[in-house]
Amino acid sequence: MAEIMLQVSNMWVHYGQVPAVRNLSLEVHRNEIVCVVGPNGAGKSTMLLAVAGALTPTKGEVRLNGVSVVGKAPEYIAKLGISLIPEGRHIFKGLTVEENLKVGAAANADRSSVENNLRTAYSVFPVLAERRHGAAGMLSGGEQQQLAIARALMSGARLIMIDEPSLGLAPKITEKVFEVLSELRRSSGLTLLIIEQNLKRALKYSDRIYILRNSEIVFSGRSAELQASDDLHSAYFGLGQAPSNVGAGQ
Amino acid sequence: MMGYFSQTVIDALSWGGLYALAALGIGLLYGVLRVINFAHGDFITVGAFSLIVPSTQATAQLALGALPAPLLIIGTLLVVTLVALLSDLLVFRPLRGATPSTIMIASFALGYVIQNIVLLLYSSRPKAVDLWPELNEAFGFAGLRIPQLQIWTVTVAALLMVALTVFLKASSYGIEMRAASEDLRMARLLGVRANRVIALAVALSGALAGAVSLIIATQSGVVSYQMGGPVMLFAFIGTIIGGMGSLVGSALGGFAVGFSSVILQAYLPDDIRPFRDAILFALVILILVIRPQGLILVKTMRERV
Amino acid sequence: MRKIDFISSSTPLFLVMVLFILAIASWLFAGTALNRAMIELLVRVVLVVSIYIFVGNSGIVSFGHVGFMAIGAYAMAWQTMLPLLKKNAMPGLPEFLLTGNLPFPIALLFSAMLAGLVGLLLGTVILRLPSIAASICTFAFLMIVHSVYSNWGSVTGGTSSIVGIPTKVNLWVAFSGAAICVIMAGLYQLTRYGLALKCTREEEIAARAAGIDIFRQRLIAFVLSATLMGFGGALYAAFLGAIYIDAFYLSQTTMLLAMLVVGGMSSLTGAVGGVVVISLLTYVLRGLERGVQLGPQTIALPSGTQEVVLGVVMIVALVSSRSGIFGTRELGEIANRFRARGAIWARFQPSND
Repeated sequence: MAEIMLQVSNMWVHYGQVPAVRNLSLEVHRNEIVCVVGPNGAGKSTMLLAVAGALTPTKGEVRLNGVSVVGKAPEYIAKLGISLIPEGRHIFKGLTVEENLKVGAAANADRSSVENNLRTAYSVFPVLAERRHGAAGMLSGGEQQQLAIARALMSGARLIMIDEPSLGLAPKITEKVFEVLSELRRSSGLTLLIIEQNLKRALKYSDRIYILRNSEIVFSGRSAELQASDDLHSAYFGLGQAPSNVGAGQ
Repeated sequence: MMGYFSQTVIDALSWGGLYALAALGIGLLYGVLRVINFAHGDFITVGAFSLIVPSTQATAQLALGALPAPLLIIGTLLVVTLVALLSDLLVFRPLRGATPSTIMIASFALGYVIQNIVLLLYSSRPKAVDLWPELNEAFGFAGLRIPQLQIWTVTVAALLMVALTVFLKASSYGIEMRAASEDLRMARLLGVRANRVIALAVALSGALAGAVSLIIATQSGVVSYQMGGPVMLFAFIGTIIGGMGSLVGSALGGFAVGFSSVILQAYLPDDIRPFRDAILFALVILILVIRPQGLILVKTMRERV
Repeated sequence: MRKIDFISSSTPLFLVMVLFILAIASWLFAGTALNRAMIELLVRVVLVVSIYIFVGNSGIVSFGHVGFMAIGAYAMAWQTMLPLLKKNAMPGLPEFLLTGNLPFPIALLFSAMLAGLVGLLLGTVILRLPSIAASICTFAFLMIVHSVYSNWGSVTGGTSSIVGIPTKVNLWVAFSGAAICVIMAGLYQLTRYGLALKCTREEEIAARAAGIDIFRQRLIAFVLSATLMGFGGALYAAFLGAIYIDAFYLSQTTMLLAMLVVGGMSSLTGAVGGVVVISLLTYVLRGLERGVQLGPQTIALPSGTQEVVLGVVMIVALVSSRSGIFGTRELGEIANRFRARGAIWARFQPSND
C-alpha cells in the first residue's frame, strides 16, 4: 500500500458547544482520489477547514506526511503542501485571472517555479490563458472552478482538497471537471480529497470513499468494491440502524 | 470672473487630492482589515505635531521640522507609521474578528486617547509652523497666480496615487494585499501571510496619513490638536460614497468630497457659507439614501474591463 | 420561560431601586459637592440608557446621540429662560419663544419631542444604509449639529455660553428622570418591537427571512432613543443652568460611550453599571488633576489625564470583554466566527440542482 499522506485521527471540531465533527478518522494515501460523501450539514466542509487550519480541532490529530499540523495557521499549512478549494470556490473576483493565479503561488517558496507553474496552468486550462487579463468575476461557473483548481496548483501543493466541485455547475461541466482532476492525478501525481454530494459520481472517480453523516464517519470502503453494495446505500440515506463499517480502507 | 473660477478649480483640485490621500489611508485599512479607523484623523495630527518640539508656547520650536526636506519627510512618515503599527498591535490585533461596532468604538477611543496625549504634551493652543515658506509664493501662469504649494499638493497626491496603484497592481505584495482585502480567509488558505499583509496595510495607511499631515501643515501653517478630525470625516464620507473598501472608489470619493467642499465654499451665498460642512454632510447623506451602495460603481467598472 | 420573563421584567425595577438607594444615601449623608456629582450621575443614566436603547438593542453604534442631547438642551434654554435674557443672548428666536416662557415639565416634554422629531428625520434617511455606513453618518450628524449650533449665533448664541437657564433639576427630579428612562428601556425590551430588534442584532439575515422589517424596527428604537436623549439633554441644561455647544461634542460622546461600553454594550444593567463606574473614575481623576495634598506639597496630575485614562479604560474594556466572555474558549470563538461567515457564504451559493 502506498504511503499515507494525510492522516486524521479522532478529530473533533466544535462550533461553540456544538460538535460539528465527532471523532473523525480518515487517511489519504499518496496519489489517491478519496471522496467524502454525505448529506448537507454532516460536517464535511468543517472537516476540510479544520485540516487546512481555518478552524482548529478541539481534539484529535492531523498529520501531513507524518508531521502534526493541529493548531497551525492556514498559511503555514498551505506551505506544507496542502491546498484547499473551499465551498463556493472563493475566486478573487476583483482580481484578474492571472492575479488570482499569482496569489495562488503565495505558498510557493520557490519563486522561480512560479512562471513555470503559470505556463503549466495555462496549458492545462487554455480558457484561462485566453482570459488571463480579464476580471475573474466575469468568468462562468465552470471557468471559475477551473481557475480555482489552477490556483490551487500554483503553490505546487501535493494534496488538493476540494469542497463540492460540482456546486453550481451543470452536470456536463461537472463531469469535465472530474475528468481533469483524474487526469491531473495521473499526469502529475497529485493526491485529491474531494467532497461530493453525488454518490454515483463519487464512486465513479474515486479510489475510496468515506460517508459522513451527523458529524461522524458511518462508512468507508473501496469504491470499486462498493458499486452495488446495499450497506452503502443504507449508510448514505440513513436507512440502516447501526453504522456499519466495511473497513476496506483500514 | 473667469480668473476666480480657474483659481477655485485649482484650489478644489488640491483639496480634492488631499482628501483622496486621506480617504485612501482609511480605505486601505478598511479594505484589508475591515477596520473602521476613527483614529486616522489623529494619526494625521501626530504627523503634524512631530514637526515641533513639545511645549505649551504659541510659537513652536521646530523638531523634525528643522531637518532638511528629505529627512523631514521620511521622519514624519516614519513617526506616523510607527504610531499606526503600535495602534494595530495594542488595539486592532486584540480585536481581530470582533464586531464592526466594537472595532469602531475602540478606534474612536484610540483617536480620543491620541488627541489628548497631544493635548497633554503640546497644550490646546494652535501653533504656527512655518515649513517651507517659499512654497507659498505664487507662480504666474496664463494670467493666473497659483501658489506653488497647490501645484505641489496636486502633484504629490497624484504621484502617491500612481505609486500606490503600481504597487497594488504589479508587485506580488500588492496583489496579495488586494486578494486579502477581498477575502482574507481564502488568501490565508493559499498561503498569504495574514500578519505580514495586515502590517503592511497598516504601515501604508500610516504613511499616507503622514503625507496628509505634511501637506496640511504646510498649507495652513498652523497645527492644532483637533486638526485631524474634520479631515478624517470628509475622507470617511469619501470612502462611503466610493463604495467602502474599494481603493479606487475611496480615492475618487475622497477627491469628490474635497473638490465639492471648495466649490461650495466659493459659491455659497455669504450668510450660509458657515454652514458649508453641514450642507456637505447633509448632501452626502442624501446621496447615500438614493444610492446606498455608494456613488461610484467601481466594482462593475472593474469587471467590465 | 415564565422565569426568564420574570427576571428580565424585574431588571429595570431592580436598577431603579439601586439608583434610589444611591440617591437616598447621597441625600442623607453627602455634602453639596457630592450631591451635585450624584445628580450628574443620574442625568448621565438618562443619557446612557437612551443611547443603549438604540445601540444595545440594534448593535449599530451611534456617534451622533450627543447631537440629540444638544438639541434637547438648547430647546430647554429656548423655552424656559427669562424673555429678557433670551432677547439678549438669542435675539433671532421666533416671536413665540422670545416673548414667553414655559413651565419646566412642559418644556421638558417639548425638548424631548423636538429631539425625537429630528431623530425620526435622520433615522428615516440613514437607517436604510448598511450598518457601518449608518454609524459613520451618525458621526456626520454630530458634526452637522455642532456646526449648525456653533454658527447660528442669533438662535444659539454661537460658540459662547448661554447662561441663565432656570435650574430646576434637583436630586429627586434627576432620580425620577433616570427611573422613567430605565423603566421605558426595560418595557421597550419586552415589547415585540424590542424583541424583534434584538433578533436583527443577532442574525440579520435570519431576522429578515423571518419577516422582520429591519428598517422599521431600527427606526422605532432610534426615535425612542433620540427622544429620551433630548429629554436627558434638557435635564442636563436645567441642571447646570448654563450650556455651550462644545460641551456636546467629542468629549461628551466619548464619556457616554465609555459608560455604555464598560458595562457591556448590550445589557441595560451594563449601561447603568457603566455610568456608576465611570462616574466614580472621573470623580477621582478630576480630584487628582486638582491636586492631592501629600505632606507639604500638592501633587497634581496634568490636566488631560482624565481623558486619556477614559479612552484607555474604554479600549481595555472592549478588548477584555471579548476575552472575558469568549477568552478561555478561543477555539469555539474562532469556530463561531467562521460558522457565521460560512452561513452567510452558503446563502449566496447557487443551489445544487
